[in-house]
Amino acid sequence: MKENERKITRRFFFGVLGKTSIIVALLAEAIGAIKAFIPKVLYEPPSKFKIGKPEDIPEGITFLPQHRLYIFRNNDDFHAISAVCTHLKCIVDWKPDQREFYCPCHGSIFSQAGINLTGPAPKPLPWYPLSLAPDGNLVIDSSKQVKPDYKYSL
Amino acid sequence: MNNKKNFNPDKDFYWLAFFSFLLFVVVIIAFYREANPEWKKYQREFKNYLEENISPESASAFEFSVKQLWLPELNKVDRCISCHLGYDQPNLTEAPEPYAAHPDILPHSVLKMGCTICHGGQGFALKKKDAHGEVEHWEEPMLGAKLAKKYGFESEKILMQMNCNTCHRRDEDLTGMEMINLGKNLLTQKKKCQTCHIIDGKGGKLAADLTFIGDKPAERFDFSQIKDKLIESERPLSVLSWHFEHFMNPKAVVPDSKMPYVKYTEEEAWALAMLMMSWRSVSLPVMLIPEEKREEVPPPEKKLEKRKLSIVEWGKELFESKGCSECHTIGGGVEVGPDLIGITKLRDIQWLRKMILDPEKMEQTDPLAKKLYQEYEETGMPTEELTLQEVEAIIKYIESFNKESN
Repeated sequence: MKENERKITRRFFFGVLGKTSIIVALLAEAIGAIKAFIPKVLYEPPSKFKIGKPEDIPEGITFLPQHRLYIFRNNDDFHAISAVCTHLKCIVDWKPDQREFYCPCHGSIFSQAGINLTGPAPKPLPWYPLSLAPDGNLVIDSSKQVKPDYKYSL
Repeated sequence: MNNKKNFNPDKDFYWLAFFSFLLFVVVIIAFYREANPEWKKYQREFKNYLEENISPESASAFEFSVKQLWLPELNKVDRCISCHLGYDQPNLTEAPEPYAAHPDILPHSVLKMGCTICHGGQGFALKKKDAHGEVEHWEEPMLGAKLAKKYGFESEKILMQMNCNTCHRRDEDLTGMEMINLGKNLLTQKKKCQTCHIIDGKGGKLAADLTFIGDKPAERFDFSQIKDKLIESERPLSVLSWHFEHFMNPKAVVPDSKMPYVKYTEEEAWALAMLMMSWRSVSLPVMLIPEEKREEVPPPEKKLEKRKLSIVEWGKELFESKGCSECHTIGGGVEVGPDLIGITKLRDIQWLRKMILDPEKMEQTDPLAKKLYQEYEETGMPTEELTLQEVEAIIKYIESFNKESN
């Protein structure tokens, strides 16, 4: 017991305190410096946006040019698909006769569910989740993606 | 060498421990403050409010983040909604501030216009004091109850009318803009301002152009005469106060002012001062202009077509556009200046030409002009830049009335 007690001298204690606190402080500063590169908020349109009241959205498929997406309505079921081609970000056209999305730039074709069928597009068109804001507007969160069987029911 | 002597391992160990521990504490404080910004406190409180008063689902759907209205067309980013969280939730009309829903302001839209365009304040700030514009060198304070009280107004929202009129300057008699409406009425009724001042491109050149007077920064106003008075009466040292004092008595603010003294009531002076503050240049994005009005903006700058006018018609146009008609009538009685009917017979034609061309010089040198200046309450006639042909046209126009009356 006495041997052990003697080992923790005042100098030893302050040495450990000084070294650990400077290491922790410098590490924390490094984390802070890295965090400073990640912006909290950007000067860009929000990824979560309102697209209007559900009753104002027509039955069938509607293109929302401002948000670059197609909104599908089947009675009280809604879903939203991005209109941006996964190849070089052109806006795809809905061809009602073929029931397909057609990209005018390089001819990629997507099915009604946004699955890439032919052409250079490497990935399906993303589906976005919907929700209802307290003021009755439908909200789309384009920062998240959902599976192509997603449905938002009123 | 000295260092070696002074090196004391026992003492320096304590210093190292002391300073590194100090650094540690400072870093911890910095991290704590970074993780607990002011807006997060409000968002936590809001989440609790939702949970207790609305529903647990709405509370769990709420995410902590800096929230903003991004309005590139207006060159604004309004982050007020990081704390004023219920602004778009109609079920929160009863909620306490800052969580209450924004009242219905149709046809305006908070989503399209943001907050600061009407309320003032510093949109991108994230601390209450900064955001409300209660900091030095931010020249657009929030036009709320706090500021209204400083000026001694009872109505909380009265100052917001200035911002309404920045966009609505060409609209008349809008509800909610009572002070501005009063100011506009004074302007059109008495109509004397444009004798000396240019407003919207029309008026005399004797005094400052007032079209965008609201943009003139505070440092370009002379407060030396009213500073003590304002400090004593505990009113803010602001451009608005300056305008008010200036309308109440121009010479008390600018001792060598040529602006005539008009006896306004305090309310009228405030109305005019607020009108002045509202005249700021603003470029409105098309989306904020109602469809039926889009044609009018930007105001079409029709250049005067070179029509073939008779000299009398030309004179009539000049008489109205150069501001003569602001003070003079022809056969309509004495107003600010003398009635001009028969003036071409009464006065020497050469004297008349000189008087129209450079009245300010005449009032100083010519005995007759001096006498008239005294007679008409020392209200001088402003000098307009006219060509000799234009002077001739004006005289011919005045002369044409002689024939009619014969």
